[in-house]
Amino acid sequence: MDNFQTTTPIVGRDATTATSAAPPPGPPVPDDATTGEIELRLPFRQAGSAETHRLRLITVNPQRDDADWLARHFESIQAQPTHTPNKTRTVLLTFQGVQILWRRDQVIIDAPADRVERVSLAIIDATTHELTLESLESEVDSHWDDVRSDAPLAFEFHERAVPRREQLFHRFQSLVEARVAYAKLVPQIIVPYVHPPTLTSQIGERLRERLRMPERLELLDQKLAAQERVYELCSHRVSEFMVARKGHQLEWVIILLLLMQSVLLLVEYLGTTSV
Amino acid sequence: MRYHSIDLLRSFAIVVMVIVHFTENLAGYTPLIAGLGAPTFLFLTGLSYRLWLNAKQARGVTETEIAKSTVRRGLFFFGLGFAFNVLVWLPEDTFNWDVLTLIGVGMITLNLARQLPPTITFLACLGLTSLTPLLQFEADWQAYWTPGYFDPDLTLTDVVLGFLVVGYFPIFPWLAFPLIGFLFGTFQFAETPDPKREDRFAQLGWQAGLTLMLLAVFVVLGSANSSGETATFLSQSWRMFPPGVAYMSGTLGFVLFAFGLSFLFFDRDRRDRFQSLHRITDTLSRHSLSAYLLHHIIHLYPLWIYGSFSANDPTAYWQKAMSVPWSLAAAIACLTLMYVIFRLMDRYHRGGIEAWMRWLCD
Repeated sequence: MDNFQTTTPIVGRDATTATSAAPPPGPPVPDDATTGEIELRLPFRQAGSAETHRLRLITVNPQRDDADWLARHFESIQAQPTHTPNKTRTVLLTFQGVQILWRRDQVIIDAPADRVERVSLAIIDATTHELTLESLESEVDSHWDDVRSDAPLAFEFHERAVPRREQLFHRFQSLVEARVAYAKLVPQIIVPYVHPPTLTSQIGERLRERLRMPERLELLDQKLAAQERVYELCSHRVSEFMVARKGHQLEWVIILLLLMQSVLLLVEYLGTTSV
Repeated sequence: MRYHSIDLLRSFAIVVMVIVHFTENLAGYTPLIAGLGAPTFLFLTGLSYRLWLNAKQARGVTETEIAKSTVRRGLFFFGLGFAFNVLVWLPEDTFNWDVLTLIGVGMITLNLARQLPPTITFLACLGLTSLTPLLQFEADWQAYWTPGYFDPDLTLTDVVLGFLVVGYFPIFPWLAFPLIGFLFGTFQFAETPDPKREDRFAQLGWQAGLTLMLLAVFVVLGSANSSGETATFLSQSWRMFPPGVAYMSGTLGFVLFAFGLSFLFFDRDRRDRFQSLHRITDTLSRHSLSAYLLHHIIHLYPLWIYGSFSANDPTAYWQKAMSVPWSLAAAIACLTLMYVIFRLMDRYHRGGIEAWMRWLCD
């Protein structure tokens, strides 16, 4: 069994949101560490969020006396109360002589030089998936208030709601975009274990597992389905209403003309019969 | 939520109405402001109905309940109109089709209009106004009016014609005012408050109002530069009974102009600088129906009673009871008295006719 642990509940987003504003300080990095920064372009990002995500990669040479420094730092994070504002989702992976301390904005890789590149690529890959999933979750969760206010229109559309058609269209469109991103993300997360396992495949698998990505995907699917149901019904009601409305308008114009003609005839008749 | 602009305009309508009725009925003098009160009042009826409707819908009141309540209010006004005619204008004027009966019909029509696309309501307003001159001609409007007042026979023909075209406030074209008010309210006030939209339509309102008022001025001026039947038609277009083209355009323009500007000025006044004015207009506006009934009773009952005892004719002193300055002073005294009464009613939580209406209809 691997000797890694995670800290805060993974599904909760609050800790992540808090840390994205003010990232917590990392562990004291040794002098010989190499620090690099890469920009990740996510296939899906929440409306209004930054276009790219910066990830700091710190690589450390493992040939040192103090081999447990990352584990100690991880334990110190764990010891913090759950509600600590700058406590973030942190994962420690230790296997095959490699230690990785993962955080959404910073990864410390304590690995032999010949493995660093492979480990880095695997980490970047998994981090991209995690951040995409996070963006999708935030996007879907940000729609609940809209869904609640639009739900009555899924049952009945009316004249006063006609100006809201454009709004409904945009919400429906953003939901479709989220569903497309979800569909693209699923085959990258729900993948069979590689046999025989390699270092890179294990990093991806463990990180996905420890961040509970499959379970979160399932939850996301249910949330998306619930919202899609509302907007699908809304689109039906809107199109039905608009088609019927055109017909009704024409009918009402005819009724108005007939009424005006009747009034004219009535007044003309009464005018002639009046004493 | 109360809109200061609506309170202000409704109070303005009441003040105009009281002054005009006092000077006309007591001194036989028609002031220049005559003709501005009724269109303002009717327009605000439609606008207020939209706000009332929004509040009901926001509270989740069902469509059936709203329809029932609206129709009951309509019938209440219609019945009150007849009771008012009989008790205040005496039984021979039962079918003079005053403003209360029109509001009653207006409420019932608004219940239909709220379910229609705005385009249809707008077309109905166009029909109501454009068909009116033709209907007035067909019904021979002049035959029903002796100078100054509507004088029909008590026959079905005259009653129906009075209701449709020739009465004081027949549905052609007066019904257009509450419908336009409702239409304007529908555009301006969304289901959920949207200040930007409200401001945009308020601006549009005063601009459209100004255009309509200029149109009315051009029509009146045009009568001076034309000849023959056109000149006759145009010269008669600025009058309240029967309402002409320029009158309709001018008064509608005035209401839109006044409402748009007062909305932007008073309802967007963040410092709330006019609290004293708002207290007065709020009181008068909330008791507008009571004010309408009360001021008639205050100035007509003494006239009828004194005429009955001194000349054996209730209408013996109608339009000749006093001089214009005295009638004006009486109007101001009446307004002050009514304001004091309404403040006392508010203080002691006594509802007027408005409270009865709500008890009966809501």
